[in-house]
Amino acid sequence: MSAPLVRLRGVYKRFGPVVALDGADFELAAGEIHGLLGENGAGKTTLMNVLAGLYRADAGDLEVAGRPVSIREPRDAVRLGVGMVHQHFELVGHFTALENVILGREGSGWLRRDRLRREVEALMERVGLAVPLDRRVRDLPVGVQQKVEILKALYRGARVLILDEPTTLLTPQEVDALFASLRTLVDAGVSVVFITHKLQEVLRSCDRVTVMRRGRRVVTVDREEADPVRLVEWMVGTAPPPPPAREATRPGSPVLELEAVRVVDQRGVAVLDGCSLAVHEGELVGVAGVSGNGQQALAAVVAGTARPAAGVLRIRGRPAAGHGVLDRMRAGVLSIPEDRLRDGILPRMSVAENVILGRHRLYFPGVRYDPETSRRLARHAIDEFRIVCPGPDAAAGQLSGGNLQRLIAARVFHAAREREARLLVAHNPTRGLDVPSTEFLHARLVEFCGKGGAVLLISEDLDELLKLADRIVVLYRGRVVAQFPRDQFDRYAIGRAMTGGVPA
Amino acid sequence: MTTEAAARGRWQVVWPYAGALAIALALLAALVAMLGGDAAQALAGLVRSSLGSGAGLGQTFNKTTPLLLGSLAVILGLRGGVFNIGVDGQIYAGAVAATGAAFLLSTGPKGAVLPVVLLAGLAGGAVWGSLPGVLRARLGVSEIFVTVMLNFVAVFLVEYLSTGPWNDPTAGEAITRAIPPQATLPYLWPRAGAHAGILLALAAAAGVWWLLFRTVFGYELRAAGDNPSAALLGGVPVRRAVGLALVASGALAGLAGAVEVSGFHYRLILGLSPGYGMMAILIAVLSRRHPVLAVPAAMGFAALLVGTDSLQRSVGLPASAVFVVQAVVLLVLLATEGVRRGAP
Repeated sequence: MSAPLVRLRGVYKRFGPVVALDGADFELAAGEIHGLLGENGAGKTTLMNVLAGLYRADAGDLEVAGRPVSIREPRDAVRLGVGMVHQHFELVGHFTALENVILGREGSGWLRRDRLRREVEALMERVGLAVPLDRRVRDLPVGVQQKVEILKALYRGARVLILDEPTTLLTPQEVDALFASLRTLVDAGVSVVFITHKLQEVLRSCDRVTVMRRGRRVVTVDREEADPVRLVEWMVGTAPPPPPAREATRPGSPVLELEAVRVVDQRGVAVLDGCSLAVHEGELVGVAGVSGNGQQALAAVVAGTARPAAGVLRIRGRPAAGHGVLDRMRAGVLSIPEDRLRDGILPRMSVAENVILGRHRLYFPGVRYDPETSRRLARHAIDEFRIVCPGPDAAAGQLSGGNLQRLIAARVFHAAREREARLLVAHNPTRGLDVPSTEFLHARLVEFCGKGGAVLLISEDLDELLKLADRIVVLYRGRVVAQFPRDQFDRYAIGRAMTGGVPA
Repeated sequence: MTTEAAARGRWQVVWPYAGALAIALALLAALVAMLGGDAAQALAGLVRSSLGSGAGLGQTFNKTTPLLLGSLAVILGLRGGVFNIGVDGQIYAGAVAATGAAFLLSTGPKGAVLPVVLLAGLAGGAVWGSLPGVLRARLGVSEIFVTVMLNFVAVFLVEYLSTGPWNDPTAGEAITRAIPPQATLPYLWPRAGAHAGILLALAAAAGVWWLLFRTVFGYELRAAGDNPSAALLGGVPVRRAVGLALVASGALAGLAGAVEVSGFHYRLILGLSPGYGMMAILIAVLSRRHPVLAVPAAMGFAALLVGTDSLQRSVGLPASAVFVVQAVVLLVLLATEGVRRGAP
């Protein structure tokens, strides 16, 4: 093999006491799609952030096109033709797609702008990615925002394109389209690093795979040498636990009923519009849909943070449309929020204070707050949910994403036990989690259902829904447009319904 | 966390403060030298006049009281996610209420009058804080605008009262008649001129600590301040907590006003607060929003004020130089904080 396009050798990086990269190696060949696979905290994103200039390595050698380079800041990486599309997009919401793509090179006046526009249009043509250039980015679906990010990187001259978990938010059709456009990009001379922890995607789309674990490379193999069992073994070190078996449940009485519920957001837009669905005791109902079709409003209206403008909402048969969060909690409704940083975590407060959130009035019905009680609960949660943290008094904001989700899961499932909760709303509960954490959470959801609890699982990961749900409903433009009982699950039929097509 | 790591963490907290103090003193020395004074002698004089003598210490205690109460007010607000920059207005509101109560109760026994006067101060500040509190909780109006506006209202109210109905005709200034002796705070340390306000302020610091860290209300307040949407989903009545934070914050500032009236000036005067509210913000930031750390921070600030005040007399240091030094202390602290945290 000729000299790789990018070579990282012995990269070492620590954050305080945490060693994120422990002598990691990586090679990217020209003209390949290279999957970078590993659990959360394996160091995939950190390693690529070193290449993209966001982090500076403590030690290690970087080579681009056979020449040793030093990348101190993102500008250096851009100069070397390295572009990265992050999991959380870095777009200016109230700029148009075009303004985002040319950000930093706007020049001045309309003449120049017209020329830049033609450049971007030519680029879109060449690489087969089309976006509406004049729409504001914040009004665009996530899948399109991602294309804007990719165009931005390419426009800045990226020959190496790093994509961090790019398929998380996409429909199956969009994923297919993304993989197709990646091939077109490769044909146009771009090399792609594809960070993921989804095995199927690696096997489908990549030419080679590097598996990382605990800050080091485990192996780099051609796709032909990789199969799911071996990949998982490389990732986790041991065979994965078997997936939780979902037995066909005999649904009991309805726990949650929505009839023609309408929710209007602050802009006056109806984000839920005539949404009807029901979840019964012991039933796990999956809500599929492309993000932005009312999932947030559905979660909010059930959790009690949003009130319906019209329609009927019943919890265990009782009308509850006008109730707030506390009433919901008393009625036995718990929720795992979609955005754990935004809606789930008190970042500057301790792990203990976070674990007890939502249960604090149960434990402290009077005036006094007892930190020792919170610490005791937190120690219990840390043990049972294997939360990696310095201790109950550590600031929650220091925890990694996976551990934050374990913390929230501990809070919710402990509360479920204490309050005899009947309904759990979980919105993208495993997004960005590693395999063991995902399995762990799935097992908890199944266990909750097994005890007669009802689960409304709103997820953009269709595989998750296919694995767990008794029934999948598809949310499109604020209403349920299709239902699939478990024996009629069909990935592509669901996907068509998600994009507004008539279900087959 | 291991004790070793904890100890290291504690030192990391301390050294910016030491560095800031050293820089502040160096700057002062430079200023004095520029003005042709003897820097070493001036610094020694600064320490002696603020901490090294009975009278100096008494003055420092008296200055600590409003600064500490004011910074506790800011801390309570910041913990609840609101930026109360209306502490000055609430100090005046508390002072007005306390003065009014003292005039009304001029015939009562001391044991009853003084507590009522202090409570009136708390209530006056609370009323001043409740306006932005209610507007924020009900309508989402930014407390920053409302509290700043109310600063002006309070100052004009004091101007009206001190030149109008409550004016002391013999003084020929914007000051009111003296409050009756039953309404005055006793001396804690008569020889040094230190009144008992410092005890109230220290008790308030302990009380705020207890409120924040040992009550459900404090927990919910901190949760609402740290991340309102997560707190809301956790069943915290966020808007109520935030509104009450402003009310309680105003009450503490109002107490500061009452103490200034009943312990120091014995009357309402127009310049009652020489910018305590702004200094309180600095102290709240210096003490990392912690009510116990606010005690040494407020005391240090008070000592700096008293000490530089004496330098004004002894070496002719301009009054504005004091503010320069204070600003430099804060900037040094913020910079060292940034360095300590490191770029992400």
